[in-house]
Amino acid sequence: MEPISERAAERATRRSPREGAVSRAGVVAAILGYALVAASCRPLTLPAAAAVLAPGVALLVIGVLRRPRSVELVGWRGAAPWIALAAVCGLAELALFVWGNDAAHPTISMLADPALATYPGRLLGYGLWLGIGAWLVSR
Amino acid sequence: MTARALVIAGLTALVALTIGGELVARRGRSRVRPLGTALTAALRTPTGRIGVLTVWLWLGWHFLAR
Repeated sequence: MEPISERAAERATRRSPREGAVSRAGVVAAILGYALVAASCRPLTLPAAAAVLAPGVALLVIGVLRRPRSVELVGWRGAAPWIALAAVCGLAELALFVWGNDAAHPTISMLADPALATYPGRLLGYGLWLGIGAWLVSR
Repeated sequence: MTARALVIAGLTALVALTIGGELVARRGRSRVRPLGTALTAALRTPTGRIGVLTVWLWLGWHFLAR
């Protein structure tokens, strides 16, 4: 029989489906609220740098300190296509940046710039970025 | 075909490969695991967590702040 204190701790950390839904809605509302404010910062300004670094560094620290979930193991074969795709994307961006980075040879970020120059584009960008960050930290 | 169109076609092909890979991985018989599962597995270790979250932070910096 497991000690009472362990069972109490398990009960305290276990969430009901309703609590989980409320918690998720809270996270989505927080991300949306932050994105609505952060999207007003134009890129290449100090407020934009702060708007990215404040939640970015906070989530990085929380994510690193947090105990990971127990998950299924994925072998190299199962992850190889994703590693290869990430490497190709990284190399393509680097090659375009070094040898091109102009209108004829645009990098991914250059292509995204017109969208990110608008408030709705930045709102979507911050929302997606923070949503992915929150998901990563929750793993 | 201009160089710009070629670059955009190449990048579009990478996006299509990502979506196609995910669809294949979600079919039960595939050896490839879905992207979310592979990322979650990468986040199992402290080194993996630092690596993945650093890439995420850099992407935010690169696209939204710089």
